[in-house]
Amino acid sequence: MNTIITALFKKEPQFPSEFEYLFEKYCRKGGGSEEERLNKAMVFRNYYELYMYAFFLGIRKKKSIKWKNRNKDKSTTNAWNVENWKPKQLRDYLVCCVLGEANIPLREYDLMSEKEIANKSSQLMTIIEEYTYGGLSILDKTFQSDKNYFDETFAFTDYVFE
Amino acid sequence: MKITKITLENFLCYSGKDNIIKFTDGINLVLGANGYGKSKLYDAFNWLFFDRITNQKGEPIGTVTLSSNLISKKTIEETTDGEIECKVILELETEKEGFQIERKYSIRKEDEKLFPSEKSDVKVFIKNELEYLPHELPVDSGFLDFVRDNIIPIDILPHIWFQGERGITKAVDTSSGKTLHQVINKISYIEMWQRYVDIADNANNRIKTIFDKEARKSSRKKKTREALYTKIEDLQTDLNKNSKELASRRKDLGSVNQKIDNISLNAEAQEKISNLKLEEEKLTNNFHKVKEELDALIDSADRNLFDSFWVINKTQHSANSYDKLYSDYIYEKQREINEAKENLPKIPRGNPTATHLNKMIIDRHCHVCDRPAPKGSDAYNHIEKLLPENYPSPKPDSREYIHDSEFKKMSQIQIGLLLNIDAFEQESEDLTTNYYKKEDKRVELKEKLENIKDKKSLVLTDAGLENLDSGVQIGKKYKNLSEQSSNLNNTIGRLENSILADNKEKEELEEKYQKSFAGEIDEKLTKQMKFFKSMLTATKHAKESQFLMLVKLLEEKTNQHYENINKESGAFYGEIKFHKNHTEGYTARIHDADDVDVTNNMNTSQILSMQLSILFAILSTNKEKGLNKKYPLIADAPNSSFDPEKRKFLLREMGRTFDQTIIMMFEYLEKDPDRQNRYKVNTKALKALKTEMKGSGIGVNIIHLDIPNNINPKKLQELSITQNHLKL
Repeated sequence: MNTIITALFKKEPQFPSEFEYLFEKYCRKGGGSEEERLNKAMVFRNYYELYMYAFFLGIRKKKSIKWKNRNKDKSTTNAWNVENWKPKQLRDYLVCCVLGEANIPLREYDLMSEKEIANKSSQLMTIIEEYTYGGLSILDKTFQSDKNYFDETFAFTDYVFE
Repeated sequence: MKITKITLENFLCYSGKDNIIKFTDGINLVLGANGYGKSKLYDAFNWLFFDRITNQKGEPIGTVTLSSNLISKKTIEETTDGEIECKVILELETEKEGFQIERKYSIRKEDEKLFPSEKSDVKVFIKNELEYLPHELPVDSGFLDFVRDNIIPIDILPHIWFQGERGITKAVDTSSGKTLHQVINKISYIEMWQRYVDIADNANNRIKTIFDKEARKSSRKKKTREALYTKIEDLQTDLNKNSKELASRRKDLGSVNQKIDNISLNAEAQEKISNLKLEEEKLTNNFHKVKEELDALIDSADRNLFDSFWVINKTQHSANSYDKLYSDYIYEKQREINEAKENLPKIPRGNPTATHLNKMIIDRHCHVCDRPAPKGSDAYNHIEKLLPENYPSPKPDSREYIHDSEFKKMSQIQIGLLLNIDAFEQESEDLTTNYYKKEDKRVELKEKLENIKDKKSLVLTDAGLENLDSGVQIGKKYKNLSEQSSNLNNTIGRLENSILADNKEKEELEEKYQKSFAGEIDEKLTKQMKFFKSMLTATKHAKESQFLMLVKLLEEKTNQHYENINKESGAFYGEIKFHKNHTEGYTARIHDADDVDVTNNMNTSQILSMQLSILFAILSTNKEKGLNKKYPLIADAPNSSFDPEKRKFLLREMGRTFDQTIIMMFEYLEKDPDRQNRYKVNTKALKALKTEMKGSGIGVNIIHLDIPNNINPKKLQELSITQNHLKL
């Protein structure tokens, strides 16, 4: 039987397709060369890194956005389900945050049936996607006001500490 | 002349009307990072007086070419339609009066199109007690005539206003003899001595004419005298002819020697280039190393977001919610265990069933005597022995707490990550500080590299190396020129001997001729002739020795300044000596203690300090003119090759030499950790400088050029500069 964690790990999170350009611009696809990364400010090694970055930004700014047209305009993090995200400690910390945000007594998960676990894991994924939506919209707003903002050295790092 | 204030209105990057910089006596340090308006401030002085600025190559560009580029892009962007004006207003005081000079230029903006004016306008105002009154410039003379007559001699400006190291080299080109010769003429009264020589020559000719006139009246020994006179005249004709030829041959020799010099210079230039290349190679290696370190730091910052978990900064509230949930979970679990324990039926002492024994093994607890029985303990082993042999081995019923181990693992990870979270900000700050230190180093190395490129190009241009033939051809050319030089030297020697002999013979004949008139011509006239002749000789000698004395004086003063800049730095600096060269000029060289010329082994800062020392000496040597006390020194980034200690000594020497110095520089600034991509002044270093300067009686006025926080310095249409007068 699946635990809530293993059920969540099997899921592949989505994000609104309007933010695809951020992933295209700041993530290396398939690794990318070191030179390309430095020259093009490709800070993130994978799509899921930017995804995690945006999720934590949403958490930090307490901004989660309901995603109304999810089924119409979704994009994926390049077929990487949560289980494959690295570093693993960061992935697990992310799950802690999601469980914290869901605020369901943990004992309840023990008592859930397989079907209930599956439903609940979908709800937890919605929490992840909504905070990520919040984070991505913050990044988008900054980018739209200054298209070169994230080309500056340490722009993404500074954003974490501002 | 003392500059008191400059106001820049919409001039280049100085957007708006409130760009005011006030200057005081002593040293005015205008501190600005690259792109923060330092050089534009220097351009403002240049534009105000000469209606032009200099580009990065040091070439002048006038207002007409610059056109709307003279006006702040931000102001142009923010103006919808209408007239846009840029202005530079300079307030200054001379010994006699106070002046305000204003130059302005305007463009018209209509429907996003710009219509520039044809020229700029300059106005002069003279200060009375309360205000500046307009001053009409005379119709028959221009603005520069007014400046020359009332404010500052234009010809000394290149020696006291210069931009960068290139500007210094342009003002004092130590590789050319010409400059020093011109300098000596400028600071000396050589023209006056030439006038004395001319006066003595005229007087001598006049008295000779009078004597000849008297002589013609006498009829005694006419034939003998006529023969003597003809011989003297013939000798004079020969002398004139030979002197003319001598002058012409000397000119030829000068030109041949110049060509030889150029070829030697080529060899010297090649050596210089090779030294510069070595230095360039070293700097390039360092540059790449620093660049790699910078890239590694950027990468490290990006990686630390994930590998060091910086990305979770300020997310504790969510993680803490989980922590609370997990604590509740553990509590609930314990509560349930306790409840189950309480509900367990009492086991009769000494008679537990297999089910009871199994439960005790799972719980690791003896429910008979109610005490723990961990695996391996005597109690556990005893319970295990009591179990029937064929009874299935006990398995814990984990279904009830299916998530326990996962939740526990997550809690441990969460606690582990949050433990370090407070250190993330400091770690990031340390990394950023380290990065900007290295970035400063990279900029410094880049500037040095560009400097070397400039120097290489200067050496190549000076030596005409672009047109150099092959080494063999140079050798042939050199041999040919050497032969020409040797032949010319022989001819000159022959002519000089001939002139000397003719002069001697002429003098003897003249004496004989004059003596033949003894008793016939007034003796007073004969004595006067002798006097004027000796006067002519004496003035010629005086002129020559005066020139030599000035060379010595300039050399001495140059060495004083040179020593003051270099002595305390602890590095080798040697002594400057002026070498007389093939032409009529002098070349400055650096000698070591064994009097060996080591100029080619000296580094950039030493050559620059030599050139600056000559500049200072030019202005301070002639005490009567005292140019250094009369006019301000204005220099933009003259010291980028100097280390901090030497820079301090240079500033001190500037302060001692000039009553007012305005110097723009990048040094004494450092990355501001509180503001992204901005610089702050190094207060500690500046305070130390101020104290040290105060000890030498020099006041320091500090102006920090800054860019407001909300502006992206890369966007010219947003750029504006603030001026902070610092009181440390």
